[in-house]
Amino acid sequence: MEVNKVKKDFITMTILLIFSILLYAVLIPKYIPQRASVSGDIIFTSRTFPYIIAVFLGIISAIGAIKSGYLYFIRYSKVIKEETNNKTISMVNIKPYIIFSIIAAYGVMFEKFGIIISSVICLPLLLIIYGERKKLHYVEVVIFCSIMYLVFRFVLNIPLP
Amino acid sequence: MLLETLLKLLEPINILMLNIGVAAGIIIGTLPGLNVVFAIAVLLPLTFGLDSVSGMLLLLGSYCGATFGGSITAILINTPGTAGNAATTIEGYPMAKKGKAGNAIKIALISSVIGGLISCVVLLLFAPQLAKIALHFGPPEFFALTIFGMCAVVGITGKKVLKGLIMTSVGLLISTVGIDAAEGVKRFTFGSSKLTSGIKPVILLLGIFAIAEVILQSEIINQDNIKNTQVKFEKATITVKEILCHWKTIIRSSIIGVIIGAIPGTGGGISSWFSYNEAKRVSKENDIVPFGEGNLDGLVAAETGNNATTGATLIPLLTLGIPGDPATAVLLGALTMQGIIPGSALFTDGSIWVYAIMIGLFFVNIFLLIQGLFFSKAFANITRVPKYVLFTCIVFLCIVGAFSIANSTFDVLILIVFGFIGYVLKKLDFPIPPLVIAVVLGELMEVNLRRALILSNGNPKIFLTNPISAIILLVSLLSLLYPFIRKNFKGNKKIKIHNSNL
Repeated sequence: MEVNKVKKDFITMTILLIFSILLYAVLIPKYIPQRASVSGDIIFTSRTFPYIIAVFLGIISAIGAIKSGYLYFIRYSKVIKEETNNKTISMVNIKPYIIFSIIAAYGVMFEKFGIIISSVICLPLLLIIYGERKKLHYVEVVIFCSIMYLVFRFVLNIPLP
Repeated sequence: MLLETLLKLLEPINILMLNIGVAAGIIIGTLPGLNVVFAIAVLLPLTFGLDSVSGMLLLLGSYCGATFGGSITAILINTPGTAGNAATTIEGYPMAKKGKAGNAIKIALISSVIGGLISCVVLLLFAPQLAKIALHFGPPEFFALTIFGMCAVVGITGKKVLKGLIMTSVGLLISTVGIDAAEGVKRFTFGSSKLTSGIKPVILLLGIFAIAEVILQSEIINQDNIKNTQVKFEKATITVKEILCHWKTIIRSSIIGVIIGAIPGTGGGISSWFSYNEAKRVSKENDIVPFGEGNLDGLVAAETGNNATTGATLIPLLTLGIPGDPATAVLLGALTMQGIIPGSALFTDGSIWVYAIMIGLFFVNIFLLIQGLFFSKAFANITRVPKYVLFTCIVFLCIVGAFSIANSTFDVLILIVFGFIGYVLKKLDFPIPPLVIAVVLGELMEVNLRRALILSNGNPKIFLTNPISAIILLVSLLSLLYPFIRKNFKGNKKIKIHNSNL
């Protein structure tokens, strides 16, 4: 478990290091226009703070990558060799991704079809994926959401699509 | 002004919002795995259509309610509802197993309310004074304070300091999205007009705390373990007078809670443990009921220390605009949405707003007491409601709430994206509080850094030559290095003990 954690850390830190280099070299120059100097030297521009963040992020991710890399490739190398010999297949839990997909679909449908249709389709679907079997709970959700809709629409006067 | 403030607070809408906040906070705090920040984040959308005072009372009610609510599950099912109630499980659950669950909850309630009221007094006394001092603060001091706020939060992540610093960087980067107010230049908008106003901290908070938690909780298959350990709720027989016999513990824990709460980056969790350990050290009741077996002193200390932070965390928030913990970071986000800029100006502009909030906190604690005394059993039954029903309702609330801010479906998209990002960050074991604090403080930090460098003609030594900012930066560095110092100190102590045993 510890080895897997270190491996994940190494990959994440490396990705962040690459991102910080990209940020410094490409993203900031491309997506933050440089305003022409109007008088004298410019001490602090719109790019200064993002540059400082990019450098800081780069340094910290480099330290993190070196640290986790050392742990993974040197300290835990024996453990990794044993695990490679005794490889087991681990199941990936896809439930969170399904839940996320439903929430994402809810957001898209909210815009296109309005709150009522999107809620009628997506909220019961969420409960089904969560594994709820009791019909009473579906009714509870419908009642709560109806009350909240009325509160937002008529008490707080917020128009909903 | 006092009469005007009281009349404002006693308006029916404010009393209603306050009570709804307290009730919702207790309910959410009661659910294991959901914390104070989640409670405030979920109620945040309801504040968008409300007056600023009503909105803040709703959120303060949920803040105090959730801080207490976690003690109900801590006592009944040996699982703290929030981090601040972890110490409560040690004494509360054994008491409940002896058939005194009602007593334990009543003790937790009374202790929480007294701790909360004492922190209100401290807030009222100290906040205006600190605001006067803050009037003399310039850009270097404010920049140093933002650094301190971020370092303090990173420092308490323990072994995850590197990850905390990375989250801080990411948060600061997110805060730069939008138009740079100083130069009028668009940053990281990627050609989209919708990103011109930046990423609203409130949307990010909702996504990262509420939606991410909903996705994460789907990995937990069932709640059978909870039902097996739940203790029956017996009616309370202990009197308030008997609880107040522990006044020394209450006062001591309140002081600890207030001091810890006022320091940015800390919170109820640290305070309750400190108070509990201190009570254990000095208590004379250990012979009657040992600690760990339902000791009243321990329970009183944990809960008083926990709730005593609630008012104190508002001191740096209201006077300096520096959130004391992620919960107050969400409150800061709510203030920004209402167009209120925290700082010393709040205390000097003649508005009753800030005094309405500080005095309102008294009312929050009073209604917390009333609701707790009459409805504890009802709140305890919340543990029987399946979490997934509540999560579904929360998804609805978040989506509708995100849309409500600016009637924009783009905000809903941002909410969902950050919900997924929050889930991934939690899976990769990245601490979220540093990200949140950095997003909230990012703009303040950049503005003051810019001003300070312009004042000093680009010389960064201004932060060190200015005595106040130098001291704050030194304290920031120490708070960042604290986990390493503590680890080395413990390591040396173990070596010494080992050597002496040889």
